[in-house]
Amino acid sequence: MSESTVTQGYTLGYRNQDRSCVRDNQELDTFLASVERSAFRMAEIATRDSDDAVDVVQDAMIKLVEKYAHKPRTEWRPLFFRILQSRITDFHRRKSRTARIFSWFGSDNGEELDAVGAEQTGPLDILLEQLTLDSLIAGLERLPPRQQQVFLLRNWEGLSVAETVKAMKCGEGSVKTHLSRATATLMKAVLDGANEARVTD
Amino acid sequence: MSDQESDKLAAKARELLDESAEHMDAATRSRLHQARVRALESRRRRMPWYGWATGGVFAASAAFALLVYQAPAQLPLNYADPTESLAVDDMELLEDMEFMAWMILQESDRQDAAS
Repeated sequence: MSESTVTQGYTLGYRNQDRSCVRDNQELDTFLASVERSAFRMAEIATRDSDDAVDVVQDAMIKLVEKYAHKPRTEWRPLFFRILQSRITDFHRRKSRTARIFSWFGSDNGEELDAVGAEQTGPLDILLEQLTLDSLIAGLERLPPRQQQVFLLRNWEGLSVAETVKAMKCGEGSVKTHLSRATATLMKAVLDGANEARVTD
Repeated sequence: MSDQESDKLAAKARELLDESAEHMDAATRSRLHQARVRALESRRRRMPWYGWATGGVFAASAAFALLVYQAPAQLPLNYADPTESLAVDDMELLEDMEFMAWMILQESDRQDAAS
């Protein structure tokens, strides 16, 4: 075997390794770029703070890159949102611990909206047409965390029920129940908002 | 609430959220970009072959330098200009070499920082 063959062999070895690494990084970069905005918005709705939201998204990105980059690309999305939801849950746990400690100061306990029972006050299409991003986000923020997560994963991120089950680490029935309750509660918020606007007018 | 009503609400929510993500402010986009870069950097730091690959590159470079220093520069009779065979595939090699050079600099910085 000539020297040039040996050198070429080493070079090719490094080349293949580096090339696959660079390619993986490019794929990861493309994937993360494709989910970062929706992930941020989900985290922002959950945490109600853009700084916390960026931290949560960055933690989720790092965890995916460090632990699951070797997984098939098709698994990255449900895995990423699973990590994101886990980070959001951690955030809520930390926050509720802090809230318990400082409860004597009085704090917003994030109560769930009352049961849905409002009657439709007008054609739904017209009401939805008037729905703004701010009022939607306000309605989403008032949802319990699990309902909020399921609603966004299913209706915005477009995850299937099976993918949402993976992301949420819960059963299929639970996903459907959370989604149904979230939708009903949001609908009530939309109708209430329309009623309030009508009274104000 | 019917399925149709649920679907309408979901569609409207999706439309509003898509729009908000599309028109996200530059500062937030920049922060997300930085978060992504940091995440990818964390992978480079954790690559298990990183250490020995860097060492290997140093060793190979030293051996090559020694070889070049000792061997008289002789062109083969059928010498051909290597740049003539520079094809598109070889551009990838150049990019890889840039990456290796970057790794060497990183390693050097790390060693400087350690010392």
